Amino acid sequence: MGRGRWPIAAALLALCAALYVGLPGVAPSFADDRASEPVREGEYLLRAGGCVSCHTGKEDDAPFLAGGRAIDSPFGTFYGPNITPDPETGIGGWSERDFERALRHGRNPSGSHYYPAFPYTTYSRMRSEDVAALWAYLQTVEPVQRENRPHELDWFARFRPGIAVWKFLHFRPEAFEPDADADDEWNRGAYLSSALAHCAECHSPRTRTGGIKPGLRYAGARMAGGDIAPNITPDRETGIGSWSGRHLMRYLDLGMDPDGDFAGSAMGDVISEGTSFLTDSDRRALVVYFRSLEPIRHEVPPAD
Amino acid sequence: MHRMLMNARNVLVGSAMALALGLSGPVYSFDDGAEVTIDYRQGLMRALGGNMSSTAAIVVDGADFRDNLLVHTRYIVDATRDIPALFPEGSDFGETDALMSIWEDPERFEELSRENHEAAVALHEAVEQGDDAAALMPRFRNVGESCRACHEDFRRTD
Repeated sequence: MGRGRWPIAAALLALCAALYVGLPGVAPSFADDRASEPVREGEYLLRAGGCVSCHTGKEDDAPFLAGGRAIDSPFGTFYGPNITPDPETGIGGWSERDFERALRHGRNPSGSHYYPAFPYTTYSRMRSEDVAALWAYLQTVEPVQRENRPHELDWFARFRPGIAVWKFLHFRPEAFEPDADADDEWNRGAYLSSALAHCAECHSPRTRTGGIKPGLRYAGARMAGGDIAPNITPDRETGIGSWSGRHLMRYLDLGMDPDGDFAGSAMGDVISEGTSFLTDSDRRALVVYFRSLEPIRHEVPPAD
Repeated sequence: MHRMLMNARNVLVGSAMALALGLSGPVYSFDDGAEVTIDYRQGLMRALGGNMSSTAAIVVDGADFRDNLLVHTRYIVDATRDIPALFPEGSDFGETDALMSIWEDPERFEELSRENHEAAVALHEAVEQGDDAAALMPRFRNVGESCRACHEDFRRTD
């Protein structure tokens, strides 16, 4: 191609790109009124579900949702996979049914089991319309070709059929059932926590086989990296009982605790990529829900 | 009076001799310079937290102390001026939540510290020019986000 034709080629390319993504060519955002309702809802649910912090790398320039984030666990290190619609390395070849099966049953399109580092134990409770909205939004994400990094697991965890045993012991797919005796705000908080934000996954101690210890849901745990996910039941001594609702709301928004200290590490990520995007009313619903729980006196044991 | 002056003179002469002999440091002999640095920075971080907390009470929740806001934001500006200086090599022991990444990736640590300070300056300037709470809120949020960004990468949660 002659040198003089470059500007024409560039202009044509720009035109094609603009037509492809819809003028003037930006990914939908909360401020984007042109995005359809399910797409906007799906983007919100992506934040409420805490998907971004595992499915986007930690680097500043990490491509959005293209995977790569390391997730420490007692079984080794998992790497969040690419969930952009790239057909080769992402979920571009999936159907909506595949997506629903992954979220609700923890199985990939070929039928094999996902490790529960992917919190399908929580997502199985998502309402069908929310699964559909999340799927609609993911279709609009910029496809990124990036191979998934293989997990680095201990020998005993590498045997994938073993996950079937884990699921048999600890996983019961179930729909979210609102509590008819509670008000809408409480039910919204319960739904956000138990079907999307998956707070219990880190904030609960686990049995030797990796299930949440009965009676200690949300009562705090030490995470694989050594950090503490504190007790978030309203126990005054060991939990969040001494925090006011205002403090809790502010923590989920800004990450600031009552002492003016700021969250870091894993919870910093959860706030930056998730809860800070929620509406005030959803943050309030979460707070109402957590403050209503039975207080559990449970001190997270010191590190080994 | 004369006795007091004499005492003062003795102290002065004694101090000068001590300085001349290189004995001006603390009387205990073990090296706890890094420990003192850790004490200092932890105190400073707690004070930063206290000032952030007071600022939030005024800016976010409308506590009736607007006139004190400058005191708080000025402290935040001053205390964040050189955060990396609070983390010299070798100050990573004992009761500290500082992660090794501070010393493994100093450029990133310096960058995030600088962003934190710049956000603090922007908030302070807005307070100085008399902005109302609604205008201060996004600037306060920026300071908070920059605190969190640094803690995410460089501080243990324990």
